[in-house]
Amino acid sequence: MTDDELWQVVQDREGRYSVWPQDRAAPLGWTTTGFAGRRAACVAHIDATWTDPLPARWRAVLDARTTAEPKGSAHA
Amino acid sequence: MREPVLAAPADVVDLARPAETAAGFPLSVAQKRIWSLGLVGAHGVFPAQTLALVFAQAPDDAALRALAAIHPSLRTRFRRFAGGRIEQVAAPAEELVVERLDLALHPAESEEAGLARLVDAFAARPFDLDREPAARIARIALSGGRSAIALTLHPIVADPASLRVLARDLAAAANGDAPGEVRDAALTLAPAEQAWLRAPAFADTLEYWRAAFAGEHAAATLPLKNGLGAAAAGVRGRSAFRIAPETVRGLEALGAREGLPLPTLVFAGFHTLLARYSGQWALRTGIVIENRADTARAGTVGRFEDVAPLHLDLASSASFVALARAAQARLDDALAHHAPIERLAQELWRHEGDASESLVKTLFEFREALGLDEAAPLTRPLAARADTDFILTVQPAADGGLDAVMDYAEGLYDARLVARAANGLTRILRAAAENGAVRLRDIALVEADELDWLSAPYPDDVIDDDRPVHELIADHAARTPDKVAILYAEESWTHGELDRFANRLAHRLVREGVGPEDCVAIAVKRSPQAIGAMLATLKAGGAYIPVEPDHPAVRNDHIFRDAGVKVIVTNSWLTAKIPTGVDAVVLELDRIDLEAEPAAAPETPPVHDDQLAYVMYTSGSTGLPKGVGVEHGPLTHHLQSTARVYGMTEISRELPFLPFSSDGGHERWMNPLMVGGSIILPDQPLWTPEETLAAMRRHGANNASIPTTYLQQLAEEADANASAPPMRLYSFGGEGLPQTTFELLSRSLNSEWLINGYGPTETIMTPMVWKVRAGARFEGTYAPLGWCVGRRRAYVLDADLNPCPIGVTGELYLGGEGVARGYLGRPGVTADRFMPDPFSAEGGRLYRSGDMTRWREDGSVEFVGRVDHQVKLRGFRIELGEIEAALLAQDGVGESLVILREDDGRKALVAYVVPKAGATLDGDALRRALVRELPDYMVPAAIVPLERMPTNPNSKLDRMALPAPKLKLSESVPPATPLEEELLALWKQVLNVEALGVTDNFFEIGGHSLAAVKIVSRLRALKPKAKVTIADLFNEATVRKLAASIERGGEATGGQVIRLRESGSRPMLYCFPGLLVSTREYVKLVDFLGPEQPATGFICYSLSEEKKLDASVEEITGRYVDHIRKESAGRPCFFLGWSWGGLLAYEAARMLGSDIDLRLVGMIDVCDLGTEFAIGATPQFAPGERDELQRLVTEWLGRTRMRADWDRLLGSMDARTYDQFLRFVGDEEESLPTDGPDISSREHTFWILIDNALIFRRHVLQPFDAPIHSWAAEDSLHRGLNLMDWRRLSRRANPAEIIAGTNHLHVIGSSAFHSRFAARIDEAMAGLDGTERRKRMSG
Repeated sequence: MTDDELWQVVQDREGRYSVWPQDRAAPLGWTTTGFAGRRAACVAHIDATWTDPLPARWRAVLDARTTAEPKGSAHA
Repeated sequence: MREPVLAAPADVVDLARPAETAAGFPLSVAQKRIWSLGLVGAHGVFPAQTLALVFAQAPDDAALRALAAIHPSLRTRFRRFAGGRIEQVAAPAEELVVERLDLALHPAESEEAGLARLVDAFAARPFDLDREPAARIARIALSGGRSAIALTLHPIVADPASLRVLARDLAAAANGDAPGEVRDAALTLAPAEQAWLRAPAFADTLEYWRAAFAGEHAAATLPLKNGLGAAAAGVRGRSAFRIAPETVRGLEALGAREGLPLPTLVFAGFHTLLARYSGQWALRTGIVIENRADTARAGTVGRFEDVAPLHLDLASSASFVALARAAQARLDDALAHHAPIERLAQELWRHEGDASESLVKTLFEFREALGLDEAAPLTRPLAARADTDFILTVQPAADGGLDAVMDYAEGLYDARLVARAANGLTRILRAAAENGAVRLRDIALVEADELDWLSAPYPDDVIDDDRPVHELIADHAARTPDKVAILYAEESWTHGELDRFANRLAHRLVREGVGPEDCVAIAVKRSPQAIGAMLATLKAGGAYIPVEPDHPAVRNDHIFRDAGVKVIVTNSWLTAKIPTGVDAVVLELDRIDLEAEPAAAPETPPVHDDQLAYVMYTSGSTGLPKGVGVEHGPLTHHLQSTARVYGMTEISRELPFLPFSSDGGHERWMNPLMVGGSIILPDQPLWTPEETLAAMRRHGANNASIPTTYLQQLAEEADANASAPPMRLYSFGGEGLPQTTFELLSRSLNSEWLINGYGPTETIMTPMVWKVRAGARFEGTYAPLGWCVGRRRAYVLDADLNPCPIGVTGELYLGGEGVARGYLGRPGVTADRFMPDPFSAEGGRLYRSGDMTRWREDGSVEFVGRVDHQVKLRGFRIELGEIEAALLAQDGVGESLVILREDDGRKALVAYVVPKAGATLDGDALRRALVRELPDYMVPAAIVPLERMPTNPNSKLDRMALPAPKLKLSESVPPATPLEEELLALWKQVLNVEALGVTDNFFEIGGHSLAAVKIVSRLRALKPKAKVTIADLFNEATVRKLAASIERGGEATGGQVIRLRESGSRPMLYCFPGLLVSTREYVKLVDFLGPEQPATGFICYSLSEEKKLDASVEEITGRYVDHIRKESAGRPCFFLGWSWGGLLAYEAARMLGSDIDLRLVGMIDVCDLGTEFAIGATPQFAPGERDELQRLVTEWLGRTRMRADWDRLLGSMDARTYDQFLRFVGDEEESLPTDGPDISSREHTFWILIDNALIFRRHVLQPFDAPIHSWAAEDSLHRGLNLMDWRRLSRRANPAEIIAGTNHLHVIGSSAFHSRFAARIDEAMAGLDGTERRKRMSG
C-alpha cells in the first residue's frame, strides 16, 4: 500500500474521521463519506471538514446540559 | 565423528585402472564444482540420485548391462592426473556389477519397510570415485517372485531428471524392449561447453545478466533467526508438506485457461510467500532448471541441471495471474540467456563490496514425476541440492497433489518459522486455485483465531470500575485518610491531606470557570502540589496539561496557546517563565489562599467516558509539539488493568522516577495512589544512583519505575556496590533495551519482577508491557515489548495492513478502547495516524505506531526499529537502531546515532557517539568492536565522537548540524626532521598524494603492498645501512614512526615479521601470506578476533627483497620456521594460511613437528599445486598450435623490458616444462603483458606466478598429522579449483566449511569466515583449557 494509491475518507458513528484504501470496503462501524483521492488530499479534506473533535454521544450530553440549564449555573 | 582418511597417496595418482585405455573427457563446469566439493569433504551439498523400482518381472543382468551400454553414466569412472586434472571415462558395459542385496527383515517389519531400509543403506554408502564407478546397481528379491532394482548415482553423473530417464528405460527393459542408441551427451559435454563459454556470443549473455543484476532486487529469503553468530555450517533442516489435490486441480484449470504451466503457478505462489515474508517485492530467486531442451540431452543420464536467477518486481496490488505471467516471461527470457550459475556468480563477485552475499539465497525446484505405469517406484524422501540457504522442492504425488519440502540451513532459519511458511504457501496456492485474479495483497496468511491469540492482551477477567481515576484515588482518602500517600523530601502527605488540597484547589478552578473540555496547565515542578493540582483539575471536570517550567519558553508558550488553556497553575517564583499575553488565569499556588475553600469535593456533573482528562504534548521529529488528548473512560480502564498486571496493592510503595513530561510518569503515581498505596516522589529532577538507592532503602520502596537511560547507571552502581535494596518490581521503558543492559538489571537490581514498558502517548501511557521474573532471557536485539494491557489489541501489520505471521517484520498498530482521542486541533493528522480498525466487530480505531516490530513465538511483540529509521544501502535493508544498540552496548558510550550520509555523492553509514560522563571514546576502536558484532554492510564507515549531540531550540536533535566525518588527510602534520622530510617526499611520490602528513597511516591513505615494496626499495638505495624491510614499513606505518626507527638504528629496523597484534592472553596466531599479498589482508580478521588474540604475519616471499631464482619451498618456509621456533618456545600457537600461504603453513607445521605446541592450522581456500606445470604432465597442442605459440613468445620477448628476467626463468626450464609454459600461454585469455618490470605490473605478477609454479612443481607434500581445519570460498568451488583435500595428508584434518557468497580473493575479509574461524579458535582454546586442567590435576 503506497501513498500513490487511492484512499477514501471514512467516518465512524461518533463522527470521527479517518482514511481507508479506496479499493476496500470500509471496516465495520465505519461509513464512506464519498470523498476519495490521494492520501494527502483526503487528509486535507478532513482538516477542513472535521470541526468538532468531541465524540458524538459526549457532544449530545453536553448539548443536553446547556439546553436543560440556564448558562452560568452548569455546575450547580 | 571424523570422516575416514582417504588412503590415496598424496602425489601423482592415476587410479582408474580398468579403463586406462578408454577415451577420457574433461569435466563440465557443474561437474568440476561437485568434484571440488568432494575434495573438501562437502559430499552432502549435492545428494546422490537414487531410484528403486519394484517389478513383477525385473530385467535380468544382461538387460541391465544392455541398459548400461547406452547410458555411459552408469559406468563412468574418474581418473586423477598429475597436478589434479580430472578425466572421466566410461568403462566397458560388461564390467557392470549388479549387486545382490538380501532383504533380511527385522521381526514384525513389513516387506515394504524392509526394502526402504535396505535401499536407504544402499544409497547412503559413500562413493570413492578414485576407485569405483560413479553408479551402483543392485537387485533385491522380494516375495511372490517380485524383485526390486535399486540404482544410486553420484551427483557428478546424474541430476534428478536423470532418474526419470532411468525409470522409463528400466521399465522398458522389463518389458523386453530393445535399448536404443548410446546417449553420451553428458560424458562429452565439457569441450562444447568450454567453446560456448569462450565464444563472443557469450559476452552478450553476460551483458544481459550484468544489466539484470544492476537492478535493485534483493536476494529473496525468509526472515533469518535471531542470534546467528557462528552458526555451524552445513547442517540442514527440512520441513515436508503437501499441497492438496484439490488445490492442484484448481491451479491446473487456471493454468489451462491462462496458458501457464503448473510449475510457474507454484513458483508464483512461492514468490508471493517470499515477498510477503520479507516485505520486499523486488526479489531475485533461483529457479532450478533441467537444462535439457537440447534433444541430445533429453534421454541422457547426466548432470545438466542448472539454476536460472529470476528477477521480479511486481507490486502487491498485482493479481496472482499477473505475477505468474510475469514470472513465465522472465523465465523464458532467462532461459534464452542461459549461463551456468557458477559463471554468473563470478560475474557478481568481481567487486569486494558485492562479494559478501550469495547471488541467490533461495531456490525453487519443480521436479517432474517419474511417470511410470508398469513398475512401482519406491517412494523416497525428496532430496534437494543444498548449495543455497533455502530450497523449496516440489514434485507431483500419486494422488494428484504435490509433495513439497523446504530444505534449509538450520543455522539461519527457525524451524517453526519455516513450518509456518510452508503452511502459508499452501494457503496462497489455495487462494490462487480458487481465484486466479486474487490480488497478492488480499491473501490472508494469518487465520482469524491465530490473530485473535496474537493480538490479545494480558489475560484479565476482572470487571473494571467505571469511575474516573480521581474518584478512585479519593475513595482511599475516605477509607484510609491517615495513610501515607506521598513522601517527598522531608514532607509526608497522607491520602486525606492530598485529597483536601485537591478539593480546595478544585473549588477555585471551578470558580475560574473550569469545566468539561477546559484545559488547565500545571506548570509546577514534580511535587505533591503538582499531583494535587492535576487531581483538582480532574475534580473540576477539566483536563490537565503538565508543563515543565524548565522547558524553553517558546515551547511552553506554544502549549498554552495551542491548547487554549483556561488556567495556568504555577508558583510565584516561576511566573517569570510564563509568557505574557496568554489569555489565561494564572494561579500561583504559594500566593492563593486555599484555606478558605471547602475541603470537600466540588459538586460537578458526572464525568463522561469521553470527557477529556489530560493532554500531553509530544515532540515530533519535525514541527511543533502536538497535544495528545486522552479521555476518562479509556484512562481509568487502562490504569485499573495496569494495576492488576503490575500486582499493585495498598502496600505498594513506588519510587516513580519518570518525568511528568511523559505520560508514563503520571501512570506511575496514579497507579499506587488509586489502590491505596504510596509513592516516594524525588525532589530533584535527577538523583545520583546512590541517592536513589538510599531513598528506596530508607522509605522501604517495593516498586520503582525508572527511565531506561537512567536505569543503566543505577544498575551499574548497584552492581559495583551490591547496594540494591530488595524490591518486588522495577518497571522501565522509553528506549529499546539491549540484551546486555537487561542482563545487568536482572543481575544487580535485586528485584523479583522486571517490566519493560512500551507505549506511544497516543495509546495512553504504557499500553504494552513485558513482565518477567529477574533472570529471564530473550533472543534478539531488544527486550520484547510484550503484550498489550487492558481493553486493547496489538497488531503487527504489513504495508497492506495484513497481519504478519510470527517472525515477519511489520509496523505495530494498537487498537481497542485504549487509544487517545487524537491530536488537539489537528483533525487531519489525527485521521492520518488513527485509522479504522478492520479487525474489530464494533468499529474502533487503530493507532499507527511508526515502530517496526514482529511477533515472537509466544505471541509477544518484539521491537525491530523505527519505520523512518530504516535505510537501504547497496541493496541491504538496514535498521539503524540495531547499529545504535550495538554502539550503546560498548563501554563508555552514552548516546549513539547512526545516519546514512551522502557526501560527494557517496552514500555511507556514519555513527555519532557521545561518551558517558568521565569516559573518552575512540571512533576507530569502536568501529573495530562493531566489526565483531555486525555484518560488514552494517558497520559504519566512520564513527565520530561528539561532546554532545547538536540540538535545535526545541531540544530536538539537529541533524543538519552533525559534522561530516573528518578525512584523515585534513590535518597534515609537517615533517620535523630532515629524515622525515625525505621520507615524506618519497611517500608522496610513490602514492601520488600531495596532502600528506608525517602522522598519516600508510594503509589509511591508500597504501598497498606493491607501493610498500617500491618505497622500501627506494629507501634501501637512500639509506642502505638501515636495511629497512617491508615489515618495518608495515609495523611503523607512518613517516614519523618509520623515521624514528631508522634513527634509532641497530635492531630497530630489518624486521621480518608484521606484528598484527603484539599482546593478548591467547596463544599466538601466525598468519602465512598468500602469493602477492602483504599479510595486511589479515588485519580485519585480527580485529574480529579481539584484543586477547595476538597475531604475527609473515611477509610474502614474492614481496621480499631477497628472493632468488630456484628457491626451494624449504628455504622459503625455513625463515618462518626459525622465527616461530624461537618465539613460541614450546608455548601453544595457531597457524593460518590463505591460498598459497596454506602450503607454507603446512610445511612450517611439518618442519617444526613436535618442537612447537601447534593447536590449530586454519586453511583458507588452499589449492593444490596447479596442473599446468606438474611434473609428468604432457601438454597437448592442436596441429600447428605449438609453432604458433612459439612465434608469439619469441615476438613478445623481443618487446618486453623484462627480457633478462624472462631469459633467466625460461632458461631454467627443460624442454617439456617449456612446452608446459607454451600451453599455459595458449590457455591465457589475455595477451602476454609487456608492462614490466614495475612491481605492480601485470607482467611482474605473471613472472612471479611462473617462478612460483616452478618452485612448487618439485615439491612433494608429505603426510603429517597437523590439526587442520579448512574453509573454501563458494566461488572457488564454482570454478572447480583444485582445492587441497587435507585429509589425504593429515588424519587430524576436518572436511572444509564452505563460505558462501565470496571468492578466493575476498574470503579473507568475509565476516562469515571470521566468525567461523573465531569459533574454531574457541574450540581449540577449550581443548587447551581441558588439557591444562588435566595436567594440573595429574600434577
